Amino acid sequence: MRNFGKIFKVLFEGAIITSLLVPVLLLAQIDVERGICTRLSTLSSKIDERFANFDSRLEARRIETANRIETRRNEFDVRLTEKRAKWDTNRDEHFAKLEEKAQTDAQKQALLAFRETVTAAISARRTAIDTANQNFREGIQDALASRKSAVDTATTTFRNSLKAAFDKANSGCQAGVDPKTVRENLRTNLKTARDKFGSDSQEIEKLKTPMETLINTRKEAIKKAIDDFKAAIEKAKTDFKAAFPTSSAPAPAE
Amino acid sequence: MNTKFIVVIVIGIVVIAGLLAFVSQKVKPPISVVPPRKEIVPPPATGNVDDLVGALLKEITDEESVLKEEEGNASLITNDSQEISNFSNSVQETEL
Repeated sequence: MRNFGKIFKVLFEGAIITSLLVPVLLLAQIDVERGICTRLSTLSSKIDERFANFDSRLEARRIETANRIETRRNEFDVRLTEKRAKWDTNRDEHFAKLEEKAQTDAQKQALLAFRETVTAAISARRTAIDTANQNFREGIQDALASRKSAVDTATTTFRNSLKAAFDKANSGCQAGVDPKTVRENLRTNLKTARDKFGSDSQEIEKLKTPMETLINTRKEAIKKAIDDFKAAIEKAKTDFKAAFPTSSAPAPAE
Repeated sequence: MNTKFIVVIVIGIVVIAGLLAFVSQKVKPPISVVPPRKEIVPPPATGNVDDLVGALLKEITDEESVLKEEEGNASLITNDSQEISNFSNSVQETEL
Protein backbone atom coordinates (compact mmCIF):
# COMPACT_ATOMS: atom_id res chain seq x y z
CA MET A 1 0.00 0.00 0.00
CA ARG A 2 2.90 2.26 0.87
CA ASN A 3 4.56 1.33 -2.47
CA PHE A 4 1.41 2.14 -4.38
CA GLY A 5 1.50 5.59 -2.88
CA LYS A 6 5.11 6.08 -3.99
CA ILE A 7 4.35 4.92 -7.54
CA PHE A 8 1.37 7.23 -7.70
CA LYS A 9 3.53 10.12 -6.53
CA VAL A 10 6.19 9.46 -9.18
CA LEU A 11 3.60 9.13 -11.94
CA PHE A 12 1.91 12.31 -10.84
CA GLU A 13 5.14 14.26 -10.82
CA GLY A 14 6.08 12.82 -14.22
CA ALA A 15 2.74 13.91 -15.64
CA ILE A 16 3.24 17.45 -14.35
CA ILE A 17 6.76 17.68 -15.85
CA THR A 18 5.55 16.26 -19.18
CA SER A 19 2.62 18.65 -19.32
CA LEU A 20 5.06 21.52 -18.80
CA LEU A 21 7.63 20.26 -21.34
CA VAL A 22 5.30 19.35 -24.21
CA PRO A 23 4.15 22.92 -24.96
CA VAL A 24 7.74 24.17 -24.70
CA LEU A 25 8.95 21.50 -27.15
CA LEU A 26 6.04 22.13 -29.49
CA LEU A 27 6.73 25.83 -29.46
CA ALA A 28 10.40 25.18 -30.12
CA GLN A 29 9.48 22.93 -33.06
CA ILE A 30 7.14 25.54 -34.49
CA ASP A 31 9.89 28.13 -34.03
CA VAL A 32 12.37 25.92 -35.93
CA GLU A 33 9.89 25.48 -38.77
CA ARG A 34 9.03 29.18 -38.92
CA GLY A 35 12.69 30.16 -38.65
CA ILE A 36 13.83 28.10 -41.61
CA CYS A 37 13.53 31.05 -43.96
CA THR A 38 15.70 33.26 -41.80
CA ARG A 39 18.27 30.49 -41.32
CA LEU A 40 18.61 29.49 -44.98
CA SER A 41 21.48 31.84 -45.65
CA THR A 42 23.41 30.67 -42.57
CA LEU A 43 22.86 27.01 -43.40
CA SER A 44 23.92 27.50 -46.99
CA SER A 45 27.08 29.36 -45.89
CA LYS A 46 27.90 26.58 -43.45
CA ILE A 47 27.66 24.00 -46.23
CA ASP A 48 29.77 26.19 -48.55
CA GLU A 49 32.42 26.34 -45.84
CA ARG A 50 32.40 22.55 -45.54
CA PHE A 51 32.74 22.26 -49.31
CA ALA A 52 35.76 24.54 -49.25
CA ASN A 53 37.32 22.43 -46.49
CA PHE A 54 36.60 19.30 -48.47
CA ASP A 55 38.22 20.79 -51.58
CA SER A 56 41.42 21.63 -49.75
CA ARG A 57 41.56 18.27 -47.94
CA LEU A 58 40.91 16.33 -51.15
CA GLU A 59 43.54 18.31 -53.04
CA ALA A 60 46.06 17.74 -50.24
CA ARG A 61 45.29 14.02 -50.28
CA ARG A 62 45.70 13.86 -54.05
CA ILE A 63 49.06 15.60 -53.90
CA GLU A 64 50.15 13.29 -51.08
CA THR A 65 49.11 10.21 -53.08
CA ALA A 66 50.93 11.40 -56.20
CA ASN A 67 54.06 12.13 -54.16
CA ARG A 68 53.95 8.75 -52.42
CA ILE A 69 53.57 6.92 -55.72
CA GLU A 70 56.42 8.93 -57.25
CA THR A 71 58.70 8.32 -54.26
CA ARG A 72 57.95 4.60 -54.18
CA ARG A 73 58.54 4.31 -57.92
CA ASN A 74 61.88 6.06 -57.65
CA GLU A 75 62.91 3.84 -54.76
CA PHE A 76 61.79 0.79 -56.71
CA ASP A 77 63.80 1.82 -59.77
CA VAL A 78 66.93 2.47 -57.70
CA ARG A 79 66.66 -0.86 -55.86
CA LEU A 80 66.04 -2.80 -59.06
CA THR A 81 68.96 -1.12 -60.82
CA GLU A 82 71.26 -1.80 -57.85
CA LYS A 83 70.21 -5.44 -57.67
CA ARG A 84 70.72 -5.96 -61.37
CA ALA A 85 74.16 -4.37 -61.21
CA LYS A 86 75.08 -6.59 -58.25
CA TRP A 87 74.11 -9.74 -60.13
CA ASP A 88 75.77 -8.56 -63.37
CA THR A 89 79.06 -8.23 -61.49
CA ASN A 90 78.62 -11.66 -59.91
CA ARG A 91 77.82 -13.25 -63.28
CA ASP A 92 80.94 -11.70 -64.84
CA GLU A 93 82.96 -13.36 -62.08
CA HIS A 94 81.31 -16.73 -62.76
CA PHE A 95 82.06 -16.44 -66.48
CA ALA A 96 85.63 -15.37 -65.79
CA LYS A 97 86.14 -18.53 -63.73
CA LEU A 98 84.62 -20.67 -66.48
CA GLU A 99 86.87 -19.01 -69.06
CA GLU A 100 89.89 -20.00 -66.99
CA LYS A 101 88.80 -23.61 -67.39
CA ALA A 102 88.16 -23.48 -71.15
CA GLN A 103 91.25 -24.95 -72.80
CA THR A 104 90.33 -25.92 -76.34
CA ASP A 105 88.88 -23.77 -79.07
CA ALA A 106 85.72 -25.89 -78.98
CA GLN A 107 85.34 -25.27 -75.27
CA LYS A 108 85.97 -21.56 -75.70
CA GLN A 109 83.43 -21.47 -78.51
CA ALA A 110 80.86 -23.36 -76.39
CA LEU A 111 81.44 -20.97 -73.52
CA LEU A 112 81.05 -17.95 -75.78
CA ALA A 113 77.78 -19.33 -77.15
CA PHE A 114 76.57 -20.10 -73.62
CA ARG A 115 77.42 -16.60 -72.44
CA GLU A 116 75.64 -15.02 -75.39
CA THR A 117 72.54 -17.13 -74.77
CA VAL A 118 72.51 -16.29 -71.05
CA THR A 119 73.03 -12.58 -71.74
CA ALA A 120 70.23 -12.57 -74.32
CA ALA A 121 67.89 -14.46 -71.94
CA ILE A 122 68.60 -11.97 -69.14
CA SER A 123 68.05 -9.05 -71.48
CA ALA A 124 64.75 -10.55 -72.70
CA ARG A 125 63.60 -11.19 -69.12
CA ARG A 126 64.45 -7.68 -67.96
CA THR A 127 62.81 -6.08 -70.99
CA ALA A 128 59.63 -8.11 -70.40
CA ILE A 129 59.59 -7.19 -66.71
CA ASP A 130 60.27 -3.52 -67.42
CA THR A 131 57.45 -3.49 -69.97
CA ALA A 132 55.09 -5.15 -67.46
CA ASN A 133 56.06 -2.51 -64.88
CA GLN A 134 55.60 0.32 -67.35
CA ASN A 135 52.14 -0.98 -68.34
CA PHE A 136 51.25 -1.34 -64.66
CA ARG A 137 52.32 2.23 -63.92
CA GLU A 138 50.38 3.58 -66.87
CA GLY A 139 47.37 1.57 -65.68
CA ILE A 140 47.64 3.13 -62.24
CA GLN A 141 47.86 6.62 -63.74
CA ASP A 142 44.76 5.88 -65.84
CA ALA A 143 42.92 4.55 -62.78
CA LEU A 144 43.89 7.65 -60.78
CA ALA A 145 42.69 9.92 -63.58
CA SER A 146 39.42 7.97 -63.90
CA ARG A 147 38.84 8.15 -60.16
CA LYS A 148 39.60 11.87 -60.07
CA SER A 149 37.20 12.51 -62.91
CA ALA A 150 34.46 10.37 -61.30
CA VAL A 151 34.92 12.03 -57.90
CA ASP A 152 34.88 15.51 -59.42
CA THR A 153 31.72 14.72 -61.37
CA ALA A 154 29.98 13.25 -58.31
CA THR A 155 30.92 16.17 -56.05
CA THR A 156 29.87 18.73 -58.68
CA THR A 157 26.51 16.99 -59.05
CA PHE A 158 26.15 16.96 -55.27
CA ARG A 159 26.96 20.67 -54.99
CA ASN A 160 24.59 21.59 -57.80
CA SER A 161 21.80 19.55 -56.22
CA LEU A 162 22.33 21.24 -52.87
CA LYS A 163 22.45 24.66 -54.46
CA ALA A 164 19.21 23.92 -56.33
CA ALA A 165 17.60 22.73 -53.09
CA PHE A 166 18.53 25.94 -51.27
CA ASP A 167 17.48 28.09 -54.25
CA LYS A 168 14.11 26.36 -54.26
CA ALA A 169 13.73 26.87 -50.53
CA ASN A 170 14.60 30.55 -50.90
CA SER A 171 12.06 30.96 -53.69
CA GLY A 172 9.46 29.23 -51.53
CA CYS A 173 10.16 31.57 -48.64
CA GLN A 174 9.92 34.63 -50.88
CA ALA A 175 6.67 33.35 -52.40
CA GLY A 176 5.17 32.98 -48.93
CA VAL A 177 5.00 29.18 -48.91
CA ASP A 178 4.35 27.71 -45.46
CA PRO A 179 7.79 27.48 -43.74
CA LYS A 180 6.92 23.98 -42.57
CA THR A 181 6.50 22.91 -46.21
CA VAL A 182 9.70 24.74 -47.21
CA ARG A 183 11.60 22.94 -44.47
CA GLU A 184 10.19 19.52 -45.33
CA ASN A 185 10.93 19.99 -49.03
CA LEU A 186 14.44 21.13 -48.28
CA ARG A 187 15.02 18.12 -46.03
CA THR A 188 13.77 15.78 -48.73
CA ASN A 189 15.89 17.42 -51.43
CA LEU A 190 19.02 17.37 -49.27
CA LYS A 191 18.48 13.71 -48.46
CA THR A 192 17.96 12.88 -52.13
CA ALA A 193 21.19 14.71 -53.04
CA ARG A 194 23.09 12.94 -50.27
CA ASP A 195 21.74 9.52 -51.26
CA LYS A 196 22.71 10.15 -54.88
CA PHE A 197 26.22 11.12 -53.83
CA GLY A 198 26.37 8.00 -51.66
CA SER A 199 25.48 5.72 -54.57
CA ASP A 200 27.92 7.60 -56.87
CA SER A 201 30.66 7.08 -54.26
CA GLN A 202 29.92 3.37 -54.18
CA GLU A 203 30.32 3.23 -57.95
CA ILE A 204 33.63 5.05 -57.65
CA GLU A 205 34.89 2.44 -55.17
CA LYS A 206 34.16 -0.23 -57.77
CA LEU A 207 37.20 1.09 -59.66
CA LYS A 208 39.16 -1.28 -57.40
CA THR A 209 38.20 -4.15 -59.71
CA PRO A 210 40.25 -2.91 -62.68
CA MET A 211 43.16 -2.57 -60.25
CA GLU A 212 43.00 -6.28 -59.49
CA THR A 213 43.07 -6.97 -63.23
CA LEU A 214 46.06 -4.68 -63.53
CA ILE A 215 47.91 -6.47 -60.73
CA ASN A 216 47.13 -9.91 -62.17
CA THR A 217 48.17 -8.90 -65.68
CA ARG A 218 51.49 -7.68 -64.34
CA LYS A 219 51.98 -10.83 -62.27
CA GLU A 220 51.27 -13.05 -65.26
CA ALA A 221 53.64 -11.07 -67.50
CA ILE A 222 56.42 -11.33 -64.90
CA LYS A 223 55.78 -15.04 -64.38
CA LYS A 224 55.95 -15.65 -68.13
CA ALA A 225 59.19 -13.66 -68.38
CA ILE A 226 60.71 -15.76 -65.59
CA ASP A 227 59.42 -19.08 -66.97
CA ASP A 228 60.79 -18.24 -70.43
CA PHE A 229 64.09 -17.28 -68.87
CA LYS A 230 64.36 -20.51 -66.88
CA ALA A 231 63.57 -22.58 -69.97
CA ALA A 232 66.20 -20.70 -72.01
CA ILE A 233 68.83 -21.12 -69.29
CA GLU A 234 68.07 -24.82 -68.84
CA LYS A 235 68.51 -25.41 -72.57
CA ALA A 236 71.69 -23.32 -72.69
CA LYS A 237 73.13 -25.30 -69.77
CA THR A 238 72.34 -28.63 -71.45
CA ASP A 239 73.92 -27.47 -74.72
CA PHE A 240 76.96 -26.16 -72.89
CA LYS A 241 77.48 -29.35 -70.90
CA ALA A 242 77.27 -31.39 -74.08
CA ALA A 243 80.08 -29.31 -75.60
CA PHE A 244 82.02 -28.88 -72.38
CA PRO A 245 81.57 -32.15 -70.45
CA THR A 246 84.05 -31.30 -67.71
CA SER A 247 82.33 -28.04 -66.80
CA SER A 248 79.97 -29.68 -64.31
CA ALA A 249 82.85 -30.93 -62.27
CA PRO A 250 83.74 -28.82 -59.26
CA ALA A 251 86.38 -26.21 -59.85
CA PRO A 252 89.82 -27.08 -58.59
CA ALA A 253 90.69 -25.61 -55.21
CA GLU A 254 92.92 -22.54 -55.38
CA MET B 1 56.56 23.52 8.73
CA ASN B 2 53.65 21.53 7.39
CA THR B 3 53.46 23.63 4.21
CA LYS B 4 57.18 23.18 3.55
CA PHE B 5 56.80 19.45 4.07
CA ILE B 6 53.92 19.25 1.56
CA VAL B 7 55.85 21.30 -1.03
CA VAL B 8 58.87 19.00 -0.69
CA ILE B 9 56.66 15.92 -1.06
CA VAL B 10 54.94 17.33 -4.19
CA ILE B 11 58.28 18.29 -5.80
CA GLY B 12 59.62 14.83 -4.95
CA ILE B 13 56.62 13.11 -6.59
CA VAL B 14 56.93 15.28 -9.71
CA VAL B 15 60.67 14.52 -10.01
CA ILE B 16 60.14 10.78 -9.53
CA ALA B 17 57.27 10.73 -12.05
CA GLY B 18 59.45 12.61 -14.55
CA LEU B 19 62.33 10.18 -14.06
CA LEU B 20 60.03 7.18 -14.47
CA ALA B 21 58.57 8.62 -17.66
CA PHE B 22 62.06 9.30 -19.03
CA VAL B 23 63.30 5.80 -18.18
CA SER B 24 60.21 4.11 -19.66
CA GLN B 25 60.76 6.03 -22.93
CA LYS B 26 64.39 4.90 -23.02
CA VAL B 27 63.50 1.27 -22.31
CA LYS B 28 60.84 1.10 -25.04
CA PRO B 29 62.17 -0.72 -28.11
CA PRO B 30 62.21 1.36 -31.29
CA ILE B 31 59.10 0.83 -33.40
CA SER B 32 60.05 -0.68 -36.70
CA VAL B 33 57.70 0.70 -39.34
CA VAL B 34 59.42 -0.73 -42.37
CA PRO B 35 59.93 -4.48 -42.31
CA PRO B 36 63.54 -5.50 -42.91
CA ARG B 37 64.23 -6.30 -46.53
CA LYS B 38 65.73 -9.62 -47.43
CA GLU B 39 68.96 -9.30 -49.35
CA ILE B 40 70.25 -12.33 -51.20
CA VAL B 41 74.02 -12.45 -51.36
CA PRO B 42 75.30 -13.69 -54.73
CA PRO B 43 77.21 -16.98 -54.44
CA PRO B 44 80.96 -16.85 -55.10
CA ALA B 45 82.19 -17.82 -58.56
CA THR B 46 83.53 -21.40 -58.69
CA GLY B 47 84.04 -22.09 -62.37
CA ASN B 48 81.21 -24.59 -62.25
CA VAL B 49 78.34 -24.05 -64.71
CA ASP B 50 75.80 -25.44 -62.22
CA ASP B 51 76.84 -22.80 -59.71
CA LEU B 52 76.48 -20.11 -62.36
CA VAL B 53 72.97 -21.33 -63.19
CA GLY B 54 72.23 -21.48 -59.45
CA ALA B 55 73.29 -17.83 -59.22
CA LEU B 56 71.00 -16.95 -62.12
CA LEU B 57 68.06 -18.53 -60.29
CA LYS B 58 68.92 -16.70 -57.06
CA GLU B 59 69.03 -13.47 -59.06
CA ILE B 60 65.39 -14.07 -60.06
CA THR B 61 64.35 -14.57 -56.42
CA ASP B 62 66.21 -11.41 -55.43
CA GLU B 63 64.58 -9.42 -58.21
CA GLU B 64 61.12 -10.78 -57.40
CA SER B 65 61.38 -9.43 -53.85
CA VAL B 66 61.61 -5.91 -55.30
CA LEU B 67 58.98 -6.50 -57.96
CA LYS B 68 56.38 -7.34 -55.31
CA GLU B 69 56.81 -3.89 -53.74
CA GLU B 70 55.55 -2.09 -56.84
CA GLU B 71 52.16 -3.73 -56.44
CA GLY B 72 51.61 -1.75 -53.23
CA ASN B 73 51.06 1.39 -55.30
CA ALA B 74 47.71 0.00 -56.40
CA SER B 75 46.33 0.38 -52.88
CA LEU B 76 47.15 4.11 -52.92
CA ILE B 77 44.50 4.72 -55.56
CA THR B 78 41.77 4.72 -52.91
CA ASN B 79 43.74 6.97 -50.57
CA ASP B 80 41.02 9.63 -50.74
CA SER B 81 38.16 7.30 -49.72
CA GLN B 82 37.89 8.78 -46.24
CA GLU B 83 37.66 12.36 -47.55
CA ILE B 84 34.91 11.36 -49.98
CA SER B 85 33.03 9.51 -47.29
CA ASN B 86 33.26 12.52 -44.96
CA PHE B 87 32.10 14.82 -47.73
CA SER B 88 28.86 12.89 -47.90
CA ASN B 89 28.24 13.96 -44.32
CA SER B 90 28.74 17.66 -45.13
CA VAL B 91 25.01 17.96 -45.23
CA GLN B 92 22.76 16.59 -42.53
CA GLU B 93 19.02 17.05 -42.87
CA THR B 94 18.80 17.01 -39.09
CA GLU B 95 20.55 20.40 -39.02
CA LEU B 96 17.48 22.06 -40.49
